[in-house]
Amino acid sequence: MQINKFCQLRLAEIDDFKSPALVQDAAFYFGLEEYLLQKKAADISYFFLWRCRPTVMLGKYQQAFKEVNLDYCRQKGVDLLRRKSGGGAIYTDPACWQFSYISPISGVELDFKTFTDAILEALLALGLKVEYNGRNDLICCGKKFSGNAQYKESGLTVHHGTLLVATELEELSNCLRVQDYKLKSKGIDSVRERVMNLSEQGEVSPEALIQGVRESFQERGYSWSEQSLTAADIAAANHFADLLFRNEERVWSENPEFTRTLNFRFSGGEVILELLVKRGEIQDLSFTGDFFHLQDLAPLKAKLIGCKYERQDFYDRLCEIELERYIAGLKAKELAALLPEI
Amino acid sequence: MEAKKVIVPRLAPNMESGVLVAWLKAEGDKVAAGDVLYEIETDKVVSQIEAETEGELKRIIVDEGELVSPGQAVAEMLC
Repeated sequence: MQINKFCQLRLAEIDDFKSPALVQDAAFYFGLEEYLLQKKAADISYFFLWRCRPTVMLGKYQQAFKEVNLDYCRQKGVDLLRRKSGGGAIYTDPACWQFSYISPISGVELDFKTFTDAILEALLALGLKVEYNGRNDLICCGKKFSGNAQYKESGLTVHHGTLLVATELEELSNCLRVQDYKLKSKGIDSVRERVMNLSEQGEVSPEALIQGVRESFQERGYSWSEQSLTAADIAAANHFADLLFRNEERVWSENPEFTRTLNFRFSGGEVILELLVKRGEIQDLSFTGDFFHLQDLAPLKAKLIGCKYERQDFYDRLCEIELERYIAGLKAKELAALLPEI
Repeated sequence: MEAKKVIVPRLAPNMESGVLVAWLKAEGDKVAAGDVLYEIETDKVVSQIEAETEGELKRIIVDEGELVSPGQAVAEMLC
């Protein structure tokens, strides 16, 4: 079936792109995408432009510990969530705009450019010298300002992308700068690229961008309509936001499986702790090293299996079982400090 | 009942490979046609791959995190 209808969702009542008080969390808009996906509209593609408060968004199968500077994000109050789409980690703030398409256009004929051509053409019409790079991202002067990703479910495609307009690039770099976190994992790594803001090249307004997108689709023969959200739509978007995106637990429980080896030297020798972590929990572990153990370590090991891969739970369990009854001179607090605070 | 291979489809005309990122069914699970079996990530796209026919997922050949190509068998179904 030829799908030739586009509908732009007008979100000005939710966020007019002017008032700081109206900036929402990214989870709301991902919830809106999910709601539109679940509606399974077979003959119309939805489009909307949005922005959100400072957030790091991970790709669906990314390893959070390798991609995000957690301590910095916590300190700055930056939100953390996991997208349903692929690709790498991004940092976004209210000066980084996002666009979303929920479309029944799917299958092998689908190309990223079905959706990004309209953005490219809208920006070209505004006099900005923009082009594609080899990964279907948009660049200007050789630097990336727009990354895109997709997920496909039930015959529909959700395509979303970013537009760096006047983002705090130093914050972007701080949030995504991670010291080499030594773990073995099969997750999807981010591709680091040089980035820039569109405001360095010229002015762009949300209204002008939307108009350009509309004209691009209309020139290609698509019809274009507009629609506002009802109270029921907003409630449904919030329902999916709560279910899938507002709960940070999902960031950890969906981390790809990994193994990590931790070495710790203390007064009683060296302990080497090897961990297998699956769905955010320790599934297996071993203690080796030249330390003096006071009794069989099997109960200690059993106590730690199922522990969340995070400092507090690990510490609580070590205290409950009285670690020093097993390994002479090793303090629970010192060992637990090897795990991250999340 | 006959064993049938589950083959990676070509998800884009220029697709060379992708990562089988997750199995949504386990060995021994009963599967209906249209159930999501696994997910593949190709360049920034996560795609759900559905079962073509009903049956039982007999054997998983390719583990999560492995690179796969169109035409490759990733599992066996008893149909």
